[in-house]
Amino acid sequence: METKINLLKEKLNQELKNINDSKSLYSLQSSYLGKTGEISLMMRELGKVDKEERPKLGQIINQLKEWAISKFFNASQTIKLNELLSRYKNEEIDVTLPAKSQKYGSLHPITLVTNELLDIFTGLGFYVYEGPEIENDYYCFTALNLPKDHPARDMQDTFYLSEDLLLRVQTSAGQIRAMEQNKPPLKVVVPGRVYRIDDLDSTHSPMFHQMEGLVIDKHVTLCDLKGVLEILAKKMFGEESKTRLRPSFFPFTEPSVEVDVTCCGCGGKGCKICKNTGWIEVLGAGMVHPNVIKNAGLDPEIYSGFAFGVGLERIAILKYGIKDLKWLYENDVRFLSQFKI
Amino acid sequence: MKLPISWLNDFVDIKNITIDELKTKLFDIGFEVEAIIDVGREISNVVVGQIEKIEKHQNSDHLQICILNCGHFGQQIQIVTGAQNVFVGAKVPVALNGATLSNGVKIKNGKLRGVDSNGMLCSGTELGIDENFFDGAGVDGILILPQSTEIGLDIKSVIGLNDFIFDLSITANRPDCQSILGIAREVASAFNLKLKEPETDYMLLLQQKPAKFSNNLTVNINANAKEKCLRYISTVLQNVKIEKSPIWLRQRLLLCDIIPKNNVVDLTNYILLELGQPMHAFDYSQIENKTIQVRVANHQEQIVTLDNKNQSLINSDLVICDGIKPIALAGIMGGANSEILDSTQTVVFETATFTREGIRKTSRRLGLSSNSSLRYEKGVDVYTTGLASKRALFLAQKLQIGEITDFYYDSFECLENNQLLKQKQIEVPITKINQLLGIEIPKKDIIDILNRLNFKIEEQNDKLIATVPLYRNDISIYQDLAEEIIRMYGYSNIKSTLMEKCSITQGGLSNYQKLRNSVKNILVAQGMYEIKTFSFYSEKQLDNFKIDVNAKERKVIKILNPINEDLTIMRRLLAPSMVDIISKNLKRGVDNSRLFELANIYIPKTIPLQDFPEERPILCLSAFGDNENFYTLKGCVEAVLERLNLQAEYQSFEQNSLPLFLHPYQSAKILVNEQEVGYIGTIAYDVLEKYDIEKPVYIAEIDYDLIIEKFNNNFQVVPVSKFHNIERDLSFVVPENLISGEIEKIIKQSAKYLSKVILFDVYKGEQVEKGKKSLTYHLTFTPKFEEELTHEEVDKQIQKILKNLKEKLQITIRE
Repeated sequence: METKINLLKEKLNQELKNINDSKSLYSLQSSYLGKTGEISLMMRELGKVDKEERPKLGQIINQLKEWAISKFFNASQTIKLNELLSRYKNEEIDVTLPAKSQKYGSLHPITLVTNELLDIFTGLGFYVYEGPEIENDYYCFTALNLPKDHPARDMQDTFYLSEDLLLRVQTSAGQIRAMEQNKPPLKVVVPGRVYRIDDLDSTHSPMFHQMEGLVIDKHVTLCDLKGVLEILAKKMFGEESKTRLRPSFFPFTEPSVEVDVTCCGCGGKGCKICKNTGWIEVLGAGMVHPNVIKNAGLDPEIYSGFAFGVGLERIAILKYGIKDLKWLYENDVRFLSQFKI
Repeated sequence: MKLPISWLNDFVDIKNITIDELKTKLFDIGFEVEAIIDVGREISNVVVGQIEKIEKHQNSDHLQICILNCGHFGQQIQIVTGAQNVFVGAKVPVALNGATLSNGVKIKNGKLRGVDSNGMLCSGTELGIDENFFDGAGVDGILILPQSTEIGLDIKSVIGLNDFIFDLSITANRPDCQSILGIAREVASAFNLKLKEPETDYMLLLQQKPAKFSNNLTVNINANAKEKCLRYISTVLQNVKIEKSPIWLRQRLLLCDIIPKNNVVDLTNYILLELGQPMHAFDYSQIENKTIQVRVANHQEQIVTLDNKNQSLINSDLVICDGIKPIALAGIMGGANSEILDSTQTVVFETATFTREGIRKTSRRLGLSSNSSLRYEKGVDVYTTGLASKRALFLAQKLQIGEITDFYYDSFECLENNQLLKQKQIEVPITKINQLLGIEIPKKDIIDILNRLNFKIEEQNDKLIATVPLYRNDISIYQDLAEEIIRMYGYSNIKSTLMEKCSITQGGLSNYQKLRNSVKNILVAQGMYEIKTFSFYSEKQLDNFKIDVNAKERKVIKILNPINEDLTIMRRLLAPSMVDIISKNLKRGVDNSRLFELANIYIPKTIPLQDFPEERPILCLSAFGDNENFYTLKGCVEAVLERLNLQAEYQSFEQNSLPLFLHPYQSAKILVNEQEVGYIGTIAYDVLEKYDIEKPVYIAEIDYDLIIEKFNNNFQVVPVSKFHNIERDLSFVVPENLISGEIEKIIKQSAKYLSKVILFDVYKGEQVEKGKKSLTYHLTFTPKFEEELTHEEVDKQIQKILKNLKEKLQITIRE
């Protein structure tokens, strides 16, 4: 009997060696451990053996069965692993081939700049008002303290659509509307398209974008204007940016200032971008003229405020190193696709 | 504005201030120096020499050898010259070894036909000047300097080239600074220097009674002209000798880009530059009836102006007339009929304040401008007018142009109109000024600054009463004073504060604005690039798009004063702008991409425009190139709608409503909740041809607000069942022309529990009979909350679907 078992073991070992797929392994396993398998048959023949020998022999056959089971289990583990490895191998791909995902587009640089500015100002408690692009003389000029004979009202600068209606030349036109709609305390920014009679060239465009800012409250000072614009400069051009105010003139502010920021090209040392001055003019601002406050139905003895107007093309040009304003309106995909920010 | 520094020095002593200091200070107080011009920058190492000896050159007929005494630069300098106008004793400009001349010419020692020549004698041209600038500079030959010229001097100081000119930009509120005197006042205040007022006391200079003239001229201002002519002064000079002005005066005019003409005209221009007051000079002999009248022009009245052009006037123009006819277009240009000629003997000077609006209107209408009109358009004040008339007489006397007469007409004296000469007063508590600025400027500094700016200050407790100088028409409220104070005190003293005393406000983007950002980002995620195009284009774009003459897109707002013929109407359709951009990209080799623009269209209520039009935001999407097709663009549209939780239906256009710029068989109306919100389609090939486009272009336009209105972000969640969904596939063979939308609609209407219907296969070919196609749908059934969905229930629903499809479309399931 022992010899028979040893032979069987040897045969099984031999046969297992030749197996390398789960299917043959399974049929081999059946031929030993299946209902009619050799080991099962041996178990069945146990009945024919003498009673005294039966327990001992039974134990031996059981041991053989357990031995076989573990043999097959181990073999199956190895084969499964091999099969998995070869399946992986067969599925080898070239990972450097191009991806198939949907390519990402991008927002227009003017939108990016607008969003960034809105982020800054909404964080400071400003809301966003978008007034009409087609304005009348009152909102665009008269209410903003531009006297009838002011040069800016000339046909030279403004696109007229009727005697009274025109394409707004500045987002400042939104000032009065915002003040009419909301009582102070008021903090508002007005982004949008504006229009002036200019041919499209590297620094001008008949349509461009501005953002007006307006604060009206009881105790607003010129220092507040500087503080707010300093935040704008730092967020847009880097923490190390410095801001400088210098006298200027706008009919709707008094005092009026031009706001310069240290040049982002050289950090203030002087370079080509800033024409060696170290400073770049970014926007016009000032304390709201009492006539404007009056025109909005508020009492300038009680309320004061500041306003500023920033050209968004200018910010985009400085921030992204755009050398020609025309690029912003050519909409060349090779240009646009660089703005993945 | 051009500002020669030497001229500025007439009124304020700036000899101890460097050019850079001056520039910085002017900048700080609001006057940007746009350029600094070094007048003699090209000339160096050229000095005055005297010719001691002239010898003939042995090897040349025309060359002469000169020995020059150039003082400490060398007393025996030998220079060969080809000029013939040299003579022994002549003082001439000598370019020494290493000298540079006009146009970058460099001089080095050398030999001319074997003879050493250690420099060059210069002509006026070689020094960059002409006869206008310096007497003798225009002759053909060497510039012969006056005998009194000192030997060894730098030529630049001799001929007026050692000067700097500032090109200043002056803000529109400071017409008083459009003059040398105006800037001098500012410089004096800024550096706390004394201003030397321009001399005007011609009587002192005259030292005798002026000649009698009084009865030989009458001046009056017509009532209808008073609004446009605030002040009018006439003076008369007799026994005038018309000649060249002295060199210094001519040079000053030239440095400021005015070409000298004769002493009388030059004088008026000199006053214009120095004081900012335009003047005009008439030849008295041409004034008929000895009368000058200022009045508005008659309709179609004619005048020939100094430029010899005939101008036809209207009754908003102002004219200066004699007893018969117009002799000048007020403030703009004199008439040819009364021009100063060489023969002129008696001159009538006009010094007047014409309003800028009046001058601008006439100047624009006639397309006629002059130094005078440009200056008037900036604004001239009545005070300066008075000052200038006297200054002109003073200079006329000083320059001996003619004989001053006792004729002096001033409309102010006759009309007793002197409230214009009454100084404004502003009362303000000091605290108000500091509250506006946000810093504490000491009272004494405030008073000091205002005094320096020529304000008279009276103190009343904490209040200041500031009397405004007459030439400062820009100052009328305390905020104006605050600006004066801070620009002199220094903007660098302004601190940064963050609205510390202001109320807290909430701020932030509205839901509409936030959603718009989200929608744009969805499109970017679809591979689309955002573009921005002009809000205007031309009718030609609409022609290209075959827009019917009666279509609404033709009912557009027209720009009354367009810059060019390409930008004439406010658009009502974004597609032409989009296709234009696509065309440009294709021309540059970008042959596949996706673009979008969200921008307004402009819808007039009436034409011509009377009322505010409607501005509606439109979302225009496009895809172009061989990698794209109708469905890729449709996917982008769906992505937006998906974001808004909206479902669209696509309906082919009816025959008569199909836009002609779209492909008739690849285009649809987009409907959401049964409302038309836009269109999608392939651009028609004959339209593409107009834009030289050979690749396919797909486009969609959606009325943005219409879809946003339908979005409901105020929702409550629907509870979901913990039991699983059941999925089924259904295939049909249907006639080729039956559209899938019809089948989907019926499927959706027929079954309960159905949550999704997706067409995932369309087959045409051998497996199905000709003229038919096979469509396979994937259906998802979802159980209700806390319910289980059985296969039996789903089978029941499928039966309902099949029944309805058979009845309504006569189609059956594919076996």
